[in-house]
Amino acid sequence: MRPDNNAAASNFMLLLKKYVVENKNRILFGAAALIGVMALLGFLTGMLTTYSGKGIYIGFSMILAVMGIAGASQMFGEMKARQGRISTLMAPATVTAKFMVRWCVWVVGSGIVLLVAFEVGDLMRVLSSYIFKHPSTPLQWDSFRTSVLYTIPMCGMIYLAVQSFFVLGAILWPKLSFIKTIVALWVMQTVTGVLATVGLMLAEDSLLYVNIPALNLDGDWIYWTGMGFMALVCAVNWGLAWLRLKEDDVI
Amino acid sequence: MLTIDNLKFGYSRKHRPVIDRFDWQVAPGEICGLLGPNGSGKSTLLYLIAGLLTPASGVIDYKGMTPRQRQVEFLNDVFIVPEEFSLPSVGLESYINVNSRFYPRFSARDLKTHLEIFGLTEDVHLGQLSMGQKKKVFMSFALACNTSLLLMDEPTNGLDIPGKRAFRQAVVREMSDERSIIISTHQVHDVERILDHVTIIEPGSGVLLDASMAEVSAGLRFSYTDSRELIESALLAVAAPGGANIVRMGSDDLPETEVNLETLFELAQQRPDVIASIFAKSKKRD
Repeated sequence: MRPDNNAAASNFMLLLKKYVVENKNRILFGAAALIGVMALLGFLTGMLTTYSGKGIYIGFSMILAVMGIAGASQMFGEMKARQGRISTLMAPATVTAKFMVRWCVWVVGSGIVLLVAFEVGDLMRVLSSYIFKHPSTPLQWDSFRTSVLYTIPMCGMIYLAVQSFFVLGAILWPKLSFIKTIVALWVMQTVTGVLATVGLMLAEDSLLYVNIPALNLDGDWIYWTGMGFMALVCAVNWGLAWLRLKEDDVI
Repeated sequence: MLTIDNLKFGYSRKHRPVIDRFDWQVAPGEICGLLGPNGSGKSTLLYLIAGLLTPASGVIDYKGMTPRQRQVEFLNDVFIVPEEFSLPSVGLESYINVNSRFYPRFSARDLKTHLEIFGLTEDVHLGQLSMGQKKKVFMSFALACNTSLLLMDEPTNGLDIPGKRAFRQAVVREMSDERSIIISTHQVHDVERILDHVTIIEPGSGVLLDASMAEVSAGLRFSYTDSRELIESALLAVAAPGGANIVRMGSDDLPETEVNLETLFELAQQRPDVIASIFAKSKKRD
């Protein structure tokens, strides 16, 4: 049977509306908390220093990234209890629609809130700095200008790739998802590190070891390979999360 | 409408399956009571029918669809009221607005009528209701969705006495020839007057009884007596203050009586051989 795309789109919009209305408090509170924390942080930073370099932006970005990732861990929060699982699984929509609705809110929506929170935090920093420190030279308020434009897509992709592990963790472990995903990532990293080390040690001693000449790779190649790898990580993790939702049962 | 064939399901491979070699059919136009002791798999069976669990083997067929695939067409046409459920903390009107559109046969008029039967109005906030009131609202919504199959797990738990009466009234009002309602319950007195069919299962999914209420009425006689002679000659006597509730074999010289589900349940538990001999469709599995 040919899928009815209009019906699917309509169903998706209905489900998105249902999700936003039913989780309005959680979503609004999360967004307000994020912006509020950044405003306070910016205000305190401006009160304590007139420093306006990239270090500020890196610090802000790191805090926001952690908050965004923690938010993604709540993507399937309503499925912690059996009642919520029943409600989610019995909603008359496709698995793709159910996944995409949450993806739109917790990946795209939270990304927009993060950008807003960043700007609010930076604005508060500049304002409080003028109020309390009276700087003689104008402070920088150009977080997204050309000087850092080159790094933003890569930083964004790294953020999405890391976040995608937490999206997967959210459906694998709806309870204590954030902590369990961190532990899982730490275990994965440790195992990978140990295996790589052992592999290199064995290769050095074996006859199969071949001395590969140093590759002369240009910056663009590394950049786009890195971007592609991050995109692949995102696609795999989101795909696995979709599959887990599809195979999920009430117990 | 609903056919289950050789169904098997267990929560763990180490333990005995909760449901094993289970066959069942539910016809349209029936209110079916699903009874059984704790751990017999009643709720599990409802979850399997709703597609919320994956069978280990066997087939569940609902109008040509497999519930576990959770197709949109299936989810549009089946509603489950679990024993415990969660409702969002929003106004009822908002809840109806965002949820009713998923059910093509949803009727706002039916919802209003059911809410009135339960003594509620549409201008309530779900976050401010008691558990019993939430149940009334949720059941009103479930009935108003007019899905062909409605599954209810312990629907009268937590309802007050008027609420239980209202529940019966609402269910009977919503029944039609195209619709089936399966009610799993231990509160047999709450539902015995509205059932068309009764199925009693035991742990491991032996079907002790699967018969229409008309067949039960024709095959068995239920009464209360203090006559020692009648008590001793009954198929089963359950002690009651001053006498006993008894079950006797149905016969032409005894007028039909109302079915006492509690006594029928006891009979099925204690004398499965008698039940099997009376009801051809009933079967006891090894």
